[in-house]
Amino acid sequence: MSSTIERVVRQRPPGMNEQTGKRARGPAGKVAAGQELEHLRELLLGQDYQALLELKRQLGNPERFSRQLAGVISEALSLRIARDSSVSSVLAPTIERALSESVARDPGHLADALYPVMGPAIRKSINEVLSQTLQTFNQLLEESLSVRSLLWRFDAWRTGRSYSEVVLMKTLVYQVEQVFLIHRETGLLLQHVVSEQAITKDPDMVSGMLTAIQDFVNDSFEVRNGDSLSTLKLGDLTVHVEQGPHAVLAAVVRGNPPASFPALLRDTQEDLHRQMSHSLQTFTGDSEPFLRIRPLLERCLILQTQREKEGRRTPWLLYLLLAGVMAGLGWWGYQAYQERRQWQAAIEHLGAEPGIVVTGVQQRDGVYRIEGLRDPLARAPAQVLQESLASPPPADYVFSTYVSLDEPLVRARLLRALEPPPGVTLDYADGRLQVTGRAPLPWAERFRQSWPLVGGIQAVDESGLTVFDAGAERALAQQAALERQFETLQRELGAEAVWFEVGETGLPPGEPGLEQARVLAGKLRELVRMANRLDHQLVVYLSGNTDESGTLAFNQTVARKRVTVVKTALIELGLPEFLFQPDNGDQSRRQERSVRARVVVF
Amino acid sequence: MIQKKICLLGAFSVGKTSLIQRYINSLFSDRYHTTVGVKVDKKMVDVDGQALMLMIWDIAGEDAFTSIKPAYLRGMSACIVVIDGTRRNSFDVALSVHEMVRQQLGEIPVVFALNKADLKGEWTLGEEQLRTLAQLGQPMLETSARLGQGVNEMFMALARRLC
Repeated sequence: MSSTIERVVRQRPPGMNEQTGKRARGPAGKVAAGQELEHLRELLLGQDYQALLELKRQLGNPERFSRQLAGVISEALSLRIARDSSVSSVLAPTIERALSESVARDPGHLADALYPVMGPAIRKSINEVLSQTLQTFNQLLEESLSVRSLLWRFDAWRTGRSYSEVVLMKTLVYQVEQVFLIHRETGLLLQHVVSEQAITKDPDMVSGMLTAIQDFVNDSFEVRNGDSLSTLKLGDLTVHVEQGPHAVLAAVVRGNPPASFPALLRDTQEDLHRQMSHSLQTFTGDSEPFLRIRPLLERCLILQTQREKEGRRTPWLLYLLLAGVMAGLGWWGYQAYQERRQWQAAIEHLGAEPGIVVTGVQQRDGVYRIEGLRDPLARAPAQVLQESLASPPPADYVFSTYVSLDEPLVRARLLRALEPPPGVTLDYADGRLQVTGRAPLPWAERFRQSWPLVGGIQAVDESGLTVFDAGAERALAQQAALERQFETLQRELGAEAVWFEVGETGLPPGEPGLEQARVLAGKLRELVRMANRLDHQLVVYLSGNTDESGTLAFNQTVARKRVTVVKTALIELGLPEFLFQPDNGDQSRRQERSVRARVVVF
Repeated sequence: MIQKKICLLGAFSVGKTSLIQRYINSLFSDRYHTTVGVKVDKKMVDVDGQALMLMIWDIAGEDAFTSIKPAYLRGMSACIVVIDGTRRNSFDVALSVHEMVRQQLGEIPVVFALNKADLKGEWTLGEEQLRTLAQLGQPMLETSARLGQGVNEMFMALARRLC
């Protein structure tokens, strides 16, 4: 030590005196004492003292101290940060204040600085939201016109939820089949859960390959730092990959997972990292510690199962309601069908009616309009419809007139046109008219003229028709009656006689003989008149009779005289002479004094 | 149970895939399939009563046009560098691959497999090359995927160093 001091004293630098001399200005006593002390210090500390002084000056001068500190501050900070986190906690408030101040002064600066970071992040987030929205919208569009969507609308109405809510619930037909937790660095499988129904291949190898694929993608394509594979899709199978700082969470999903599923994975990932941070960082191949986070992974599977259960609840009320509605609809449909069928049958019946042709049926405002042709002799359409329908619906009948050749109509028309007399029957079939019975001549003549005017008759069979002439028959009958009258009169004439007294040959006035002659004349006149009508030629024979009291010759003379007397009397009474022929006496009667007349027709 | 990721590295067509096939499935095929990218297999081994699962990454071989993608090596616990004894070039590739592994992952267990030992008559590796390899301080084994020679031993040697 002493040698060091000696060396210091001996090797005192040449400029030292000048410096101390400068400082020695002041009150004399104090200065002298100070100088001595200074001397002593210099003697004791030498160069080190100067260095100390220099250091002191540096610390005292803020500008020089700052310059010194600037050289080491970064290194010092990094050393301290390595040791503990105090730097962060010390700096945090300052940085916060600084940021606030910067924003308050000019937000543009900070915005510009953050733009390269925030821009892509915001774009990515917006893209994700948009793609999810589009996907949902797309599904909505696809579903909005199907039977299923109608059921969903009904479901929404029934449960009072919004339609979109129901659609979202119903479209979530998916299953999270497996969840892998993979160590990011090594690609080794940390934990694996699988749903009951799913079939799984060797999860260790899947885990390795999944990591390899990610590495391959990252390595093969230009990707931005921090970007990584998030989805693998094959058919309806999707592998959702959620990257964490130390582990990768991969979920194998069959079907369309809900939009919230990635968020669930993210939450699970965050929980995992919070709970297993240490194990993840110090992982050396032992997956044992990760057994305890299985429930966390299973949470991703369970969520699906719950939703499914909820969806599978049997809606008995709905079924009952549906069945009721269906039954009502069925009944209504059956009724409508029956009514329609009856209506069709009625229209067919109407069309089959002779003399009616239906050309069209329309329905407007519940009123039917039936169009067609109708023979004037046919029945009224409404009457025909009433036969097949208990209560026919309101209908307008628009029928044009025509002449039908249907048999019943032809028959009716025949009867109207020909008016057959009693005893005559008209049979019409297949265009052939058969007339049978007895018909008076005028009708028969009229019939022969009229039947061609009645349409539809191609042939007439008159073989069964007898035609008679009434006038001629009447004349014959009259004649026969006259004949009979004539014959009666003839017989009556035979009974008449003009009587004479014995031997008498005259007809004195006032005697009965004259009166008898008059009766005889009356009868004869009647006979002549009838003979004229009957177109007969008459001869009247008068025979005279006597009794047998006288001689034959006398008697003959008497008889002749008596005939002459009567003949004369008859002629006087108006009968023509040429009628009388003398009788040869063959018809003479014995024991009778008379003259009788006999009429002969030839 | 402990899992470890190990990789098989080397030039193309040195027999990496064949070695793994022989080791895992006890199969060998003469037909050559070039590996595209990577293929992952696994094998359970028992090292002194302790179960160890090896996740074996069969990484596409390196040649003049493709180089091994460093991303595949991430998290690797050990590796096997395969050399084709009949091709000098595969030796040079092995050295550069080993260097790459050291740079990326530091000192990790490495085994050099001198493959195609069944064709030893055609080997072009000289004493000098073998000495160079030996100086790297890592085990070297002669293997033949065709005959199954040294394959199990090689994987077991590596497994032991991982426990």
